[in-house]
Amino acid sequence: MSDELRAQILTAVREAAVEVLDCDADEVTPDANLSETLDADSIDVIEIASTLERQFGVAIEDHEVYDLSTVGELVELVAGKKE
Amino acid sequence: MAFNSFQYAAFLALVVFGYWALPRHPRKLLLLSASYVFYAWVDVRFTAILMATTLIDFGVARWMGRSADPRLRRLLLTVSVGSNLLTLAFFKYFDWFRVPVETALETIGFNEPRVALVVVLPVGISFYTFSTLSYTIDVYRREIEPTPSLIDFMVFISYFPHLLAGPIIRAKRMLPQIVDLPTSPKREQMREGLELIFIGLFQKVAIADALSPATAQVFSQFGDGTGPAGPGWVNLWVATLAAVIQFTFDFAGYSNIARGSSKLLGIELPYNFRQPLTRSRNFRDFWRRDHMTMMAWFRDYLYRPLRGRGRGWAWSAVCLCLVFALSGLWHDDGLVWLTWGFVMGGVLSIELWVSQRADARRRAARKAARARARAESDVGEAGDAGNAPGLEEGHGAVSVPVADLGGPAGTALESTKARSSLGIVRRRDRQSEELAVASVSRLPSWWPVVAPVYVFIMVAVQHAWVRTGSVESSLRLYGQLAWPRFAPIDQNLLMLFAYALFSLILLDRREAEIERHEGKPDPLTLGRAVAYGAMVVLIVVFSGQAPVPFVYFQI
Repeated sequence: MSDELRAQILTAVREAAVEVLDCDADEVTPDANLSETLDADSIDVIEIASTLERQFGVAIEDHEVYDLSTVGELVELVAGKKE
Repeated sequence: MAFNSFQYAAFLALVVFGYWALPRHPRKLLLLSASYVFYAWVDVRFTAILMATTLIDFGVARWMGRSADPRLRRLLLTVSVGSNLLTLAFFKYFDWFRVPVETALETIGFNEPRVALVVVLPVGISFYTFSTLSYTIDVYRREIEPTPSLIDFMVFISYFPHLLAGPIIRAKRMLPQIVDLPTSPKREQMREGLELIFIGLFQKVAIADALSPATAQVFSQFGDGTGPAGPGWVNLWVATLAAVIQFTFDFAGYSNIARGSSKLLGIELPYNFRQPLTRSRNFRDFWRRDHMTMMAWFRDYLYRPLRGRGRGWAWSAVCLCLVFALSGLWHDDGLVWLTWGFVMGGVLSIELWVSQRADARRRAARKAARARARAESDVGEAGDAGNAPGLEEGHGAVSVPVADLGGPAGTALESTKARSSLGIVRRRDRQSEELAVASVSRLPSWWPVVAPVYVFIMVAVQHAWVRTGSVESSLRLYGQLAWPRFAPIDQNLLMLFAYALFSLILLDRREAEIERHEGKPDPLTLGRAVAYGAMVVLIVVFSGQAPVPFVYFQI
């Protein structure tokens, strides 16, 4: 369930990133750096996190988002709240 | 009833004991009545405005929730936003229009309008207005459902720990906590609450209030330009830096007491300050850590909708300037705050540009490294084609799509070899990418040490701009900051600054620890017990004078 959940979250992050950042879906891997690889600024990450909040029914605080650097950390954050 | 008063201590103790002694439903009524008593303590007339705002927005949101007609929903949102902003503007900016209105009335024969036109700004109006506005906007955006309970909504808006000066709360986080109040107190939450109140009290009484007379004495010399030649260059810089700690601790102290009081009631308020002066990596990061709930409000309801997506740096810069200018006007109505907003927006835009350029260079280096790796693997693949069937590590397998591995065409052995070599190639690719990125732009190794100093000075300089109250006196102050003029050093001010700086570093470290251990056991250590003993002594030492209002109430 845990791996399945993470895969679901990664897919959701990928979809949101493609929409918000207009990036290539292949670039959105767990070790992709949000700012350096995906060109996301803090506001973009907040937008992606808001989409995940709605989709997975979790509450993500701003300070948690600001502390993230990679896609994998975002997936873990949502998975941790969901589990 | 200020947070740093004995009345508040008694009030909070009564509410907390009563709250946990009651069953769940009457607890909401207790919170509601306590909040209105708390507000009426400031001025009973203000409760009417609070009540009116609450009722309008409750009704508007309920109606909006029932309607599917986009035009009606937009109209209802306009009613809510319009009524809230007009009320706020009337009380906050009335003085802007007072003189022209008085003059106009005098010209048509009304000679005594002045008494009638004195308008008192209801304390906390902008904080609860922002909370209630966020509720109706979120309902309009269908991000939340309107609450069916008027009592829950009234508690949400009037909840006393946040009512007067924030943190600005959002319905999405707060209403679920109010709807489902906790059944019993949690040990860790109570301990955290008491510790936050204690830290907040220390920040306010033993640091901010202790620094206040010393810095005020320096800055008052710039007020009307008629004072002495100036405090001297060193004293002015020390006062400018000390004032940053003073104002940050004044407001952060208030927020800590608010969050701590709320924790005693089992309700979590959002963070409002996260060690902005010691942990910010740059000036943009500072604004993510300082007065966080207000900045988040401006970000979510102004900056994000205004900026949109994919419109480039220049448009982001325009939006930053506009949002900070509005934020400046929210602080006060003078030209000095408006210019502050534009300058802040400008500085942040420059930082954004520098950071975007660095990110772009790193991305280009990564892409180039990837293209090089691909070209090398293509060459290798061409070589391997002539040397089949051998499959050497690091060559030949990179072009095999992952989806094809182990597919019907490949044997298990081939697939294992291919996976293994693919893994090695990917690792090598990643390493070469990282090397390429590192060679293009990496922050210098000394940056983490310099960053807090840079942020501290930037904050001090921007704070000095708004400190004296007018553009002319601010320019005079800037002139003296830039031009060394020697005068005897004020030892008292210097010692106070050193003490405040030392306390800042220690308290920020402790706050970061509390954040890490939130909700978990965090046993008291001997070192911390000694530090808290010293803090109690310092609170007693510095509390000899009458309580000074928190910075947001010094109108």
